[in-house]
Amino acid sequence: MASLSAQADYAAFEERRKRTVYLDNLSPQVTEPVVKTALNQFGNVKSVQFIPNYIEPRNIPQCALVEMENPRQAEAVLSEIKQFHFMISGMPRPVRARRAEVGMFGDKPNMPGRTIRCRWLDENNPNFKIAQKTKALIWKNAAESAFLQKQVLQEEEKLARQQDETLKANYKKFELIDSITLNDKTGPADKLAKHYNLKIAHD
Amino acid sequence: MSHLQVKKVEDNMKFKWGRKKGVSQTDERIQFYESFTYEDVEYFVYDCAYIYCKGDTETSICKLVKMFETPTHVKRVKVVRFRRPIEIREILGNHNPQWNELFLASGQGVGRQDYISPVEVIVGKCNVVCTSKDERNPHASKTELKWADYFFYRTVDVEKCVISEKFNDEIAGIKVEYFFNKRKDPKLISPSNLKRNIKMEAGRSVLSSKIGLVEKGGSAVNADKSGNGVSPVLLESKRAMTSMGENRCMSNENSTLRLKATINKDGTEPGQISFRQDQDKAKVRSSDSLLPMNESDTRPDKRRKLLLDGQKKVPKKGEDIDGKAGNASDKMVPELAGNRGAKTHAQFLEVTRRPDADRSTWFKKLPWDQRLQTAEEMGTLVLLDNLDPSYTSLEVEDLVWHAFNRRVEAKMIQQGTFSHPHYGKALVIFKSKDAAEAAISKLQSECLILEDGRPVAGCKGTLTQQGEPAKFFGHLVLDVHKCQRQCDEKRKAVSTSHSAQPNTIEYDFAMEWRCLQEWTDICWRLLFEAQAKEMQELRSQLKSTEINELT
Repeated sequence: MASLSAQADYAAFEERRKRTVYLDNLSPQVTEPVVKTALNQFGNVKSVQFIPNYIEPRNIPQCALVEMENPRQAEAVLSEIKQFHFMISGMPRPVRARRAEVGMFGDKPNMPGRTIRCRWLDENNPNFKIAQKTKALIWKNAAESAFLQKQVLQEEEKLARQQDETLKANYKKFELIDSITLNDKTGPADKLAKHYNLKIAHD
Repeated sequence: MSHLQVKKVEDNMKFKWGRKKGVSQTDERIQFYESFTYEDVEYFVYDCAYIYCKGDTETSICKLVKMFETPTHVKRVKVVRFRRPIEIREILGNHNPQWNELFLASGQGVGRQDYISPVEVIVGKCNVVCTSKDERNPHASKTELKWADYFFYRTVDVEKCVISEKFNDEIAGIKVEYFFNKRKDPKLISPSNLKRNIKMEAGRSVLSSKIGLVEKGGSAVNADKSGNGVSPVLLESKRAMTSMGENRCMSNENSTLRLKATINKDGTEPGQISFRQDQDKAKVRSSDSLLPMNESDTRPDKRRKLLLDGQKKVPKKGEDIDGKAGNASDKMVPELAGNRGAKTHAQFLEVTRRPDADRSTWFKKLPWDQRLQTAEEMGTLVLLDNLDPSYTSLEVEDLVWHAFNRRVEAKMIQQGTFSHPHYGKALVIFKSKDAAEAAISKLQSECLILEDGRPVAGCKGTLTQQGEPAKFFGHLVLDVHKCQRQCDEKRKAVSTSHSAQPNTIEYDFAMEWRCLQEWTDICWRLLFEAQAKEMQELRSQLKSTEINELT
């Protein structure tokens, strides 16, 4: 059966998994030191590993696995990020954190004691047809996922654009308010004060 | 067969009858034709074509034996079908057909009902060669074999369910000669013509036969071997010749140039070069226009090598990456009811560590990213789908070793936000393009299932395009005129992180983002659940029999 070392390896990996946090909604500009400094306030970051994107479309946000010193710190990161809107190198889209899952690791060890078994299905096998259908279903599902992904990205873009407009409008408003009281005492507020013989305290 | 009631106008635009052949003896209103053109491809009587009928899982290949238009202007083509080995697997018995072998349907009742309407079902031309030893059959040259999509030398009696190498005199009322290879035009090799050609084209033919040599490697047109020392090459058109030089490198990528060679008994080898464009178009179309399930039609690319067991290999681009490609195709002729399949017939094959998996590597390898890039360019990259997400990269490598007998490099794709939780995917780099393509076609036409009843799916690996930096929505920056100060602040801001404080616009925006995130989460969950349910339904059908086999 599985050797002891394999079991030890896997146990160590499980330990590592428990103290690891999965971050997503990261901007592509985020780098390892950025994540490190960002999360060091909740504990000690041991390592940061970005999950490479090989086959997904380019425009999906980055995601990363962050290994903390111990599971408690990982929990702290999770709850902090969940509770507050945590921003890393940009606003206002908050990052998200989840518990790391086995499938997210690229360097996971073999599960001890597990053997994989496979076979080529004979064409006469009654399951052959079903298996072929299943394969068709896989492609269909992949297409569905791709579609939803596109929708999500569009939705995100829409929200970002909307917020951008709101922000600009707000900024304009504040500029307007600012311009009422200009420092060189020529703004509309000063003029009005002069007219009504009132005094404004400039500080 | 399918009935054509409503003819679409645009279909008619693409369809044109060729020369008239005559009218029916029974009904003079039925008009026979010699050819028709559909979507820029001209089909002649006795050509072979791929057809795809709605509802079928695969295209079928058939011979067009009659073309006519009925009094009601319905276009009809009578066909005799070839059977793929997979279709007649019940009666195959000990026969062990090659993957690109076909069986000609014969016997009573063939073709009686087999009328198709070309506009609806024809997908493209197919090049089928007869390799029968029958004396009525003009022998196919190696070159012809090389370019053939499929070959056949046996018939299958659809009524009696017998496979035989004998050909009856008539099949479906058509003389059997028409099912054999087409006779070469006797004029081309008649002695007088030959002489004239030698005179006329001596100068040119040396040149062109040289081109032919370079072009075809060890194939039939070979100036040195021929008795005269000059092999007269008849050019169908000058264009063919001039384009030959240009096409020389292109021929590796499914070029449009087709070479036919006829071997004469007296040692001279006149070659005939014809220029055919339709072939490739048809091929492309056949793979494009089909559903993903029929992707096995991309196979024609490989057919050449598979037939060439004894023959020298034509150097191909991307094949000799590691010099091993030569043996690769010889070793791995995918057979439908192959030995491996037979061995593992009744039980699952246990995937163990492949031998010398741990051998030390002498050379430092390039980083994985770069190797992926080159593999994609070379066409050796394969994406495996529907693995168990908990598999490790090593396990995938072992799995491929056991299933395909190939040593590969594999990496599981790490799951991210958008990854399907039930499908594990892996990128696999094969040693050669042939091996990768063979594996893909095998995965598509056959079924590799894992212990829990998952069939493994495979397709060509395509990587995300690198290039301009990815767009990311949701980080807003005010472009204010006070540029300098702002830039300084921004630079600082980039490297910092913070939590949004309540009662700021940032907080409100962040809340909106959170809502969107929750919403997308729900969408994904619903989709995945629905998909898992579909999958479960299929698998539940599978299980009952699967368990029986296991125990």
